[in-house]
Amino acid sequence: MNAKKWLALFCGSALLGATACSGGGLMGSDEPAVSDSAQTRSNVTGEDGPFAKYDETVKLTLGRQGVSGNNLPDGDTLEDNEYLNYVEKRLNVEIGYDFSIEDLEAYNQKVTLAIVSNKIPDVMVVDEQQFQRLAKANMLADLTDVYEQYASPLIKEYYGSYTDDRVLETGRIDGKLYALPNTNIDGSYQLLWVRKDWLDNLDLQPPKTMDEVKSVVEAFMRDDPDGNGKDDTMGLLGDTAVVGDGGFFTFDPVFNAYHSYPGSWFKDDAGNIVYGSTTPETKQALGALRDLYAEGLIDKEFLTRKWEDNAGLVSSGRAGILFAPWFAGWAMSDAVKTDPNADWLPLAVPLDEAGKRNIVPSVPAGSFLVVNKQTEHPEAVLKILNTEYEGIRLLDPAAQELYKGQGVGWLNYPLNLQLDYQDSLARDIPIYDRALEDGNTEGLPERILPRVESVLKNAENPKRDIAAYADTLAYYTAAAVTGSKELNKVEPVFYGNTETMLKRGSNLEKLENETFLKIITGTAPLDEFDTFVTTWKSIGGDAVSKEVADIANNR
Amino acid sequence: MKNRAFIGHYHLMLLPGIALLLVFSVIPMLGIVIAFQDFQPTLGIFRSDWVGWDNFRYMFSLPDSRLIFVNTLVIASLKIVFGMLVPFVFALLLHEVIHIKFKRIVQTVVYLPHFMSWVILSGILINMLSLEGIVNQIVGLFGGEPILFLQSNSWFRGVLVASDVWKEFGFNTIIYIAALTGINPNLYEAAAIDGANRFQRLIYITIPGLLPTIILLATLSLGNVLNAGFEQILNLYNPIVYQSGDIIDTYVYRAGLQEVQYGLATAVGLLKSVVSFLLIAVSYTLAARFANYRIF
Repeated sequence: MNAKKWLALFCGSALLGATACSGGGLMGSDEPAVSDSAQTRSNVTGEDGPFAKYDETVKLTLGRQGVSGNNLPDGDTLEDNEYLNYVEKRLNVEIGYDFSIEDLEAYNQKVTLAIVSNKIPDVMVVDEQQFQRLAKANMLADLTDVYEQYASPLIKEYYGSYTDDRVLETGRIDGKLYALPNTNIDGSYQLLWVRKDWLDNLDLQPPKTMDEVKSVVEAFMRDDPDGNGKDDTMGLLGDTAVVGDGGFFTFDPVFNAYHSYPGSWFKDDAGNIVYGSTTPETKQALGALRDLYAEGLIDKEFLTRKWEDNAGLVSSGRAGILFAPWFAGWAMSDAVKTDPNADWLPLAVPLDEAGKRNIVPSVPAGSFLVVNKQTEHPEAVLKILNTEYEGIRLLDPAAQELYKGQGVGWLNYPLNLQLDYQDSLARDIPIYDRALEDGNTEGLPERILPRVESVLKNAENPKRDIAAYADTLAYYTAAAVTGSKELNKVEPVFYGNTETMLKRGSNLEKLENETFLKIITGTAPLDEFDTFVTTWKSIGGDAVSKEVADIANNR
Repeated sequence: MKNRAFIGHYHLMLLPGIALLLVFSVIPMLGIVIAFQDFQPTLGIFRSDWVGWDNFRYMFSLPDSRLIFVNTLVIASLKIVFGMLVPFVFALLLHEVIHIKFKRIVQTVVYLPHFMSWVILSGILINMLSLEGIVNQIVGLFGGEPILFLQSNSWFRGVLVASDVWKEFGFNTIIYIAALTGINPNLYEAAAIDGANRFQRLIYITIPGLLPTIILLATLSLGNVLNAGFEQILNLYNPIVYQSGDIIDTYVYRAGLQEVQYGLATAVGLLKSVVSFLLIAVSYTLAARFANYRIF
């Protein structure tokens, strides 16, 4: 539970950071200069387009999630602030908030209630289930043409950057676009974080395969890598969740190296729907983990450790090898406080026998911007989104002046839909590289300046400023690794929940998690896996498989 | 007549207490209907679909249900037995201490843990029982292999019972000491004059003198047979020891609050309440018969 909470926290902050730091429209000759065309268009009056101002004020109502811990300056509110006014003035629209509720659960209940009572505002951001319900109830405006006609090049570019249109596809039903989904960027899979100074002390090479990872763990445990003469270093850290997208200390990479993808749905060669946790490959991976644990190479006590216990082992310099996503850079940087020589090396390993780091891409989208069918100007929603992103990405010079230097959160813009390039993490790396080469930050876009400065600061005086070091680790060192050439994306046939999953899923998950943990820690024999598969099928797994097959085959 | 008016005032003073009970205990009981519904928070109690005994049927079909009932019974019974035995013996020992100051100090020290919450204690306990913790260091001194107490199904219950007894025995000792002071000192004097030694005085005076208290506490604790210590277990357990340590309350907590299976969680909770109610009725009857303990 704790790990999940922290994960959400980190994901949130990390993605916000990523949002603020990517976009890349202004940099590099290989990217089209989006803002120029957008700017010129917006200045043309009398012509209808993505940024055309209305002659008469258009009113829209919005249901939105509030902003907890909002850092607006005194006197400004969510209903009246510079960001909102900027959008309203540029387009001559008036946005009224039907409701804004901070607590996510309460917000979801409010939305559901609005749906049930058939009184939805013009615009809302909803979750997948709510979107499906709204679409089924025929309450949503068809955005297919509106999107084509009014979405700005930048917005189209964001969606277009995803392979096979996988994000926008989630907003389509029967080929028609009923929602604009948010975009979950690439790279939330776990990297292997290794203490580089320890590798150097022991004269070891960065590991690539599972066997090499194993021998590094072994050396870290037994050969006193920190040279303090004490037997106080640990093996691989673990988490009771065992696996999870974006999870800290989970074992996903080990499973993936064995071509096992627990928790995801696939089609096998015969066309049958297969649940990743029940495959023979998963049994094999569990066997490998079980051996690691038996040899003491996985932290014997990982079951009783909470997230912060593990983080403590990292910062106190006792743990030097673990699995965590790129944004763990912030947690890793703490090790410097105990040992100034601490240095981390994130790696996209272990690789499988073909030299590939297999990953399952994150679910493409989690939230959906929907427009009420009754709304007179559905295109206004697109225009607002266009304008908003010119502001968020600081492409419009006027927007750069809004709350300058105050760090006010972008959530104060009316539409809270996170959009970015699929490879937004990796695509900024050349900018950092160039800045590091010549130390010149002249001409860099506003949005990325603070981060480039952090990286430069850290390059000049490594690890002096912990915040700058953490930024460097996450946005530069680890983000570069997320774009590794060895990646092999294994696309599932289905994301999300079916009816039975919602009803009985938690008991299935519990069975799975318990069995995996028992097998890994040696409490149950490896063959317990076969019993698990049978039980899993009988207490609901078969029903779920059938539902998934229906959905996957009807697409 | 005057007397009756006097009693009336007493009843008036009861009102705030009864109001609290109504608001926080009786009215929420109506929520029991959730056990018979496919409860959706957004629809509320009044618009959710009725599903009859579905939640109960599903509960009994789960492999976990039997387990959590057995665990609850075993853990709670062990706690009750040792939770009575230890303070009883300790009170007898303390009673024999002549040095008054020493007695007071011991009494205070042993009942301090009672005031600490399990959230804090469990943190301490996890540390003590870890591989490098003090307990395993002692085990190591005697040449034993370190034991993962909290990850072992054979140790987990023992840890639960021992730590619970350790936390509460000081407090329960007070009850016995109070009962001990209630025994007429003349009896001891007379016995001493008759030539009874300390042990004989213990057997023939102290224990019979304490018997009503023991019987009373034992029968009343019957109502707790299904309360195995939610707070403690929630803070100490992990998925590996669900098998030996998952109890009704922790299960309801997970199913209801973490996994939002409100109907199922309420059904399990309701079953527990029904059984507990029966046990309390039985224990009250027994207490009335054997220890002359009456409320009504």
